[in-house]
Amino acid sequence: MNRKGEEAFDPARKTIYWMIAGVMIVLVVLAFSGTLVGYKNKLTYYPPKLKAELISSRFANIPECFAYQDKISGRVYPGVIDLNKFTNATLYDCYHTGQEKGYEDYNFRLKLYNKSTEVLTNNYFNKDDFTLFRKVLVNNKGKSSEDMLYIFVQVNI
Amino acid sequence: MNTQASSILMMIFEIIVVILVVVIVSQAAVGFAKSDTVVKVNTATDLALMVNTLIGTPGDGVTAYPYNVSKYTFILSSGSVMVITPDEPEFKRVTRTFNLPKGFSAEGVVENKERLCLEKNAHKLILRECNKNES
Repeated sequence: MNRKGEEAFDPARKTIYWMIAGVMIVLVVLAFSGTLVGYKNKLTYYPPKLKAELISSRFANIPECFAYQDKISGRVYPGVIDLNKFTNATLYDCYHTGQEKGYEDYNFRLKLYNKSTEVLTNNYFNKDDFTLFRKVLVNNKGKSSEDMLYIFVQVNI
Repeated sequence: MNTQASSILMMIFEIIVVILVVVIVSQAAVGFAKSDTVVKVNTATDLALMVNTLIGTPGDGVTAYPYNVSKYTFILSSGSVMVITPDEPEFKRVTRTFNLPKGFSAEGVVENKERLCLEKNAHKLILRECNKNES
């Protein structure tokens, strides 16, 4: 190319250079902010199973949920499920999520393996993310038997 | 404009752009490092999990948060815990929610106290400053 031609091409070359440089700069800035956000998420992460374990500890441990409570002495037996209480209504009083966006919260399906009975929280839509298991005793009209409580957890939809 | 002047101008422009990008990225990094959002999020999450733990425990109990939290203000209500720092805009407040069984309530405001305690007393959860013998 002669000198005149080179001079004429110069502004076009700069424009192309800056277009590529602009894209590269934007990519670098986006990658950097992505890294920061990712790092922040990593720092604030906690395992969903931990939260589910802690929430579900109430089901078999407190009398407001399914734990058996002696009517005369008032003593609560943690880990002993009162079969009479094992209903959806009791579960609603024990744990329920918001009517509008409750599906974004943890929901549960509880099943007593030997009794084949199950109860659901109000926004449970059969999307099991994981399952927790808990050995329990079931009190049915004064008679106790061993059972396994299956806690199916729906983290969110 | 002659070619030499144009190329000098372009070089100055390039240097300015590079400096600008470096400054923006450094500012973002410094802002992130100085920000205590991560601490607030983790503390709010910890407190919400502490509420769930106390609810799932039969009987009464007190649990102390094992870190110095004197920089923050905590507001516990029946359904959420909020962590804020003074004079910060509303969007920077961190809230974590939880679900209480029927008949339970939760309340408490703790402002810039070193030690934080969560107490379960019958059907009530209270967020308060720890007593001397509790921490």
